[in-house]
Amino acid sequence: MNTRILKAEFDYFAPASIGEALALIAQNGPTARFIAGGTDLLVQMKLETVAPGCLISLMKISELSVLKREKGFLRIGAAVTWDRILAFGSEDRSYPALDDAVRCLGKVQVRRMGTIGGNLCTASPAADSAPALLVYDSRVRLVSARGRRTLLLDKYFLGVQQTARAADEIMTEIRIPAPRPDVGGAFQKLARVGADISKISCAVAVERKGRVCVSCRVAMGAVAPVPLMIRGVPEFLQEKTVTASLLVTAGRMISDEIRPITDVRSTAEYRKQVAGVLFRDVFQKAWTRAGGEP
Amino acid sequence: MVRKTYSTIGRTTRRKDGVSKVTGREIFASDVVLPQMLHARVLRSPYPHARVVSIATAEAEAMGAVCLTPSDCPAWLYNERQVSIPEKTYRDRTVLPETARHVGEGIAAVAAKTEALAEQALGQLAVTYEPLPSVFDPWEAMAPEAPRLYKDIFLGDVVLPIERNIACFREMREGEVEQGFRESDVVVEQEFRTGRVYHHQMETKGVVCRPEPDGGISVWPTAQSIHNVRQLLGRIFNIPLSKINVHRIPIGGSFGSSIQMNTCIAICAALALKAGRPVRLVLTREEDLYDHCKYPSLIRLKFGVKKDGAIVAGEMTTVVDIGAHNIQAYPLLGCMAGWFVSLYRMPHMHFQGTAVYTNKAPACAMQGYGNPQVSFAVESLIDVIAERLNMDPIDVRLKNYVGLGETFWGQGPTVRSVIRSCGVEEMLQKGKDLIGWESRNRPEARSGRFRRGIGVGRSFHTSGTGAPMSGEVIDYSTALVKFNEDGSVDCLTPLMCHGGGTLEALTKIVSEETGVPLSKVEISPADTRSTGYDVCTHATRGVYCGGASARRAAQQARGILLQFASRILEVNPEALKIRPDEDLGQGVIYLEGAKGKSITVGEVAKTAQIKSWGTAIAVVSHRQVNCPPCFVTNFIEVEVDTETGRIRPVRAVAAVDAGTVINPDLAAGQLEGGLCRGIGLALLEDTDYDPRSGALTCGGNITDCKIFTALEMPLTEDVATFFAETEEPSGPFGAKGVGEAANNCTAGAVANAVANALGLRFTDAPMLPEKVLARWTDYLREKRGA
Ligand SMILES: Cc1cc2nc3c(=O)[nH]c(=O)nc-3n(C[C@H](O)[C@H](O)[C@H](O)COP(=O)(O)OP(=O)(O)OC[C@H]3O[C@@H](n4cnc5c(N)ncnc54)[C@H](O)[C@@H]3O)c2cc1C
Repeated sequence: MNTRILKAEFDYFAPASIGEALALIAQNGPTARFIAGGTDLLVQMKLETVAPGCLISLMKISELSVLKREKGFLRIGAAVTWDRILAFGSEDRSYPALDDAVRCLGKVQVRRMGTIGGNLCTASPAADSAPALLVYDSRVRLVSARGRRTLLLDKYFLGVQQTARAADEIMTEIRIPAPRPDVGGAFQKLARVGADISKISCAVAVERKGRVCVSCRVAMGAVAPVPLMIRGVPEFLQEKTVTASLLVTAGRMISDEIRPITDVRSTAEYRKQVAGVLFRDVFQKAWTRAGGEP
Repeated sequence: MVRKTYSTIGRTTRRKDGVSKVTGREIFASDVVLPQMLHARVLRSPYPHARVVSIATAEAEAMGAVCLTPSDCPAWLYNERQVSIPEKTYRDRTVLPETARHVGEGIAAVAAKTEALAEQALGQLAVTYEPLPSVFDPWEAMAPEAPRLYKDIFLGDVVLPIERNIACFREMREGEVEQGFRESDVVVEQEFRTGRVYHHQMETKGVVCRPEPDGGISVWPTAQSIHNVRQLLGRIFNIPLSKINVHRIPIGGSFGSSIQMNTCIAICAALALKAGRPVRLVLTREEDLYDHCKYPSLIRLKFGVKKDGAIVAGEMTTVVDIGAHNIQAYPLLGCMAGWFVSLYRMPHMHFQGTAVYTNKAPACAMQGYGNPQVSFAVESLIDVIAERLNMDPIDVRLKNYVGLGETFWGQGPTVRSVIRSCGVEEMLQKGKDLIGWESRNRPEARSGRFRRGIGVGRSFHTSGTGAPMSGEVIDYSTALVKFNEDGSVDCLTPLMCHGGGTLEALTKIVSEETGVPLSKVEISPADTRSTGYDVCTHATRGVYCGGASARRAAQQARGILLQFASRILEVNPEALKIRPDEDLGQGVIYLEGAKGKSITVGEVAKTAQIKSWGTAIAVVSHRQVNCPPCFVTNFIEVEVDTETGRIRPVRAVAAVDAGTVINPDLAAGQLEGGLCRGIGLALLEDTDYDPRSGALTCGGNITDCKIFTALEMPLTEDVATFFAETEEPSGPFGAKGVGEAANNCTAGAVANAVANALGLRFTDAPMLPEKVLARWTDYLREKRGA
C-alpha cells in the first residue's frame, strides 16, 4: 500500500551507448530492466508488481534521443520525452494527431520525464501515443545482441502489456512516414478528468479530395487488449462522399468492432456507446484539417 | 447599508506565510527532522474484518526495527475526536486493535533507521489472522443476522451495547408533521445520495514524536487542534499534560480530515515511547485513502407545500454509512437535522437519522459536515417544488428562507441562536443578474447534442458552534496579545490555519484593534504548553470565534498600553486613540484635536519597560454566544454532452454573506475552492469498495481516485465571486465565516442546472458520464414510447 517508498535494492547503470546497454542487460540476468523516464516503471516497482534486480537507464544514449526529419521519415528516438515532442509539434504541423495526443498526455511532471519509447514498451491498451502513431503507419526499431530489426507498429502490440519486443531488446526509435499532402489527422480521448489515462481514445488520419474520403486510417485506445487498428471503417469510407449519415454508420461499425472491458475507469457498455461519437468528432476534426483548416 | 471603513480589515494584502510556502521553505510535519530520529511504517490489515491472532516480530527485530503490537499499547478505548462533551463521545478504538474492522486498518507498526528499512521490516512481521464475515452495505448491516463489528463500546464512561451495527440514532420533531402534510396542497418526495468522497488534502497525515527525559513527549502533528491532541495523548498514555507539548506546525490542507487526533499520532507516540527515540510517521497516499472519507449520504426527503409555495412540513430520513469507527456520527446527525431545519421555515418537521457501522474506512467530517449532502437534497427538492407549482425557483427560496430575526439551530438542537445579519436576498438578486437568469429557458426549448442549463443553489454554514448555553459541543478560544518594546505586536494562539488564511485574518484583526500597522503584527509559534485551550479550527469558526478572542486580548492589551501612555502624556487614557502610521511603521497614540499630545506605541512600550511599569499584555479565553450563519449562493451553468454524458460547468457565480470580509482575495479563493469541490461532489467524487475483498476499487491509488482541478473548472473570466454587504453584530469587526459554507450549495446548484438542461433530474451523485448517458438514453426511449 505504497507508491512512495522504494524498499527494494537494485543496481543502477546509465550507459552511454547501445553496445554497453546490451552488454549490461546480458550480464545482469533476467531481472535486469531498461528504464527511461521511469514514470511507468517506478510506480510498478513501488507497488511491487515488478522487482528488477538491476536498472539500466537509456537516457544517456544519444542515439535514442534523435528527433528529426530524414529521408521521408520523422525519426523520434525512443528516449525522447513528451516535452520535446510537444515543442517539435508546435513548429512542425505534419503530425497533428500525435500532437493532439501529447497535449493531453499527463501533466508537466510526466511530460518532462516520460518518453515515447516507454509508452510503447509498457504497451498499455490505453497508451495515448499508440493510436496516433498507428494511423500514421509508424514503425519501431529494435536492437539486441542478435541484431537490429524494424517492425510495423501494427504488428508490434500483441496483448495487454505484451509486445513483439524481447526483454533484452532496446527500442531505439520510432519512424513515421511523412504523410501525403492532403492528409489531416486528429486525436481525442475521453477521460475522467483533464489529466488522466484514457477511458477511450481515437485517432484518425484521412486523405481528402474535396468532399471525398480518398483513404483513412482509424485507431482506438482502451477498447481491446491492444491499441486497436480499426479494419472495417477505412474500407467502408474509401472513395465515398462524406456525409453526416455516412459517419453515423461508420461510428456504428466501430462500436461493433471494438472489444472493450469494464475496468476502474469506465464500463464496457459505455465505451461501446461512445466509440462512434468519439470517432465522428475525431474524424470531423481530421477532415477539417485535411481541408487545410487548422 | 454603509460599511465601516477600516485601516487593515478588508484590504487585500500580501500573505505573511506566502513566501515560505511558494519557495518551499515552509516546514510541515513530514519535514521535521530530529537527531536520532527513527522512521515508522504501519502494517495494515488486508482483510475487511479479521481477528489478529498473533504477530511474530522476531525477524523484524533482528533487522534492528522497534516493533509495536496491540499488546504493547494501552487498552483504553478512545475516540480521536475531542470536540463533543465526554458524555456524548463514542469510544470504540484502541491505539492498535485486536480486531481489524476495515482493509487498511493499522494493526502493528515498526520503526527503523530509514523508511525503506522500516518498509522491509514490515514485510518480516508474521501475522496470523482469523478472517471474520464482513458487511459493506448499511442496510445489510442493520439486518439481525448481519456480521457485527462491535458487541459494545463506550459512550462517555458508560458501556453501550451495539445492536444491528447501529452506531447511533437521532430523531427530532417540531410541530405535527403528519398534520402538516395533510394541510399541504402539494407533497413532493425523493431519495438522494452523495458519495464517499476522499478529502484529498494535499499533505498526507504525518507526525513526529520525541520522548522527553522527564517521561513526557513532544509532538509535531498534522492536526487542526493541538490541545485536543495533547489531551488525548495524556489520557491514552497516562502522562500529565504538563509533560506533553504539542507544537503547531503548518498543515498542507485538511478539508476537515484532521479535526480529530489522527490515529497515526497515537501509534507514533507509542513507538517513540517504546523506542526511547524520536519517531517520524508519515502516511503514504494509499494509507491516507484508507484512513478517512466524507460521510456519504442516503437521504429520503419530503416536503409539503401550499399552492403559494409556502413550505408547511418537511421530513428527512437519513442513513449514514460511517464505516468502521464512530468518529462523530452523533453530532453529525444533529447537524444534518440542523442544516435541514435552518435552510427553510418549516412549521412541522420530522428528522430521523441512523448511523451504521460497516467494514469500510471510517468517515469523518469534511468541509460542510453533512451540509453539502443535506443541501444537495433540499435544494434539488426546492426546484422540484418550483416546477410542480410553476413558480420561479428563486421565488420559492425567497418565500421560505430562514433569515433575519429568526431562530435557527444549524449546529444541532442544543445550539440555538437568532440571525442578526443576512444577505440571502441580496445574493439571490445580484447573482440572478450576473448569470442572466432571465434568459434561462425551459428544457423543452432545447435540442441538439450539447445542452446548457442554469441552476441555483443556496445554503449556509454556521460560524462556529457557539451558543448562549453550553451544549454538547465545546466551543471557545484563547489568545494572547502583547506589545513588544519596539512597538510591534505578538499574537499567540493555538488556533490553526488550514491554508485559507485564518491566522492572516487574526493579524488583521489585531492590527485593526491595536492600531499597529499590519507589517508589525505577527502570529507567534504556538504549542500547548504556552497557550490556553482552543477547541479546534473546524465548523467555520476560525475567524469568528478565534478572531473574537484575539480581538478581546488586543483590546485589553491596548487598554494597558494606553494606561502607560496616559502617564507619559498626562492625559486620561480613555481620551487616547491609536492609528497606524505605515511610514513610521508604528501605531501612533494621540489625543484627538490636541497637537503635540502624541507618541508612538514603540516609545510607550519601551518607556514602560525602562521604567519597569511592565508589559502591555493580555490573555483572553472567550466563548462566542452565537454561531451566525454565513449564507452562500451559487448560480451555475452547465453544458451536457448528450452523446457522451459528460457534464461540463461553463459559468458560475459564487457569493457569500460572510459579514465583514477580512481577507477579500482569500475569501474569494475559498468560494472558488468550494465551488471546485462542490462540482466534484456532484459530478465525480466517490470511493467504491469491492464487496468481495473489502478493498477500495481504486486500490487506494490516487491515480484512480480523481478530483477536479483548474482544468475542469469554468475559465477564470467565467467565474464571478462577490460578497453580500452585511455586518454581523456579534463578529469581530462584523465578520462571520466562509470556509465550509463555500461548498455547501454547489452540488445542489449543479443538479438543478443539469435538470434545467435536460429536463431529467439526477438525485444520486456523482453524475458520472456513464450514468448520465445510460439514463438519458432510457429517458429518450421512454419519451419516444410515450
Ligand atoms: C501521473 C501519470 C500520468 C500519466 N498519464 C498518461 C497519459 O495521459 N497517457 C499515457 O499514455 N500514459 C500516461 N502515463 C504513463 C506513462 O507516463 C507513459 O506511458 C510514459 O510514456 C512512459 O515512459 P517512461 O519513459 O516513463 O517509461 P519507463 O517507466 O521508464 O519505462 C516503461 C517500460 O518500458 C521499458 N522501456 C522504456 N524505454 C525502453 C526502450 N527504449 N527500450 C526497451 N524498453 C524500454 C521499461 O523497461 C519499462 O518496462 C502516466 C503516468 C503517470 C505516472
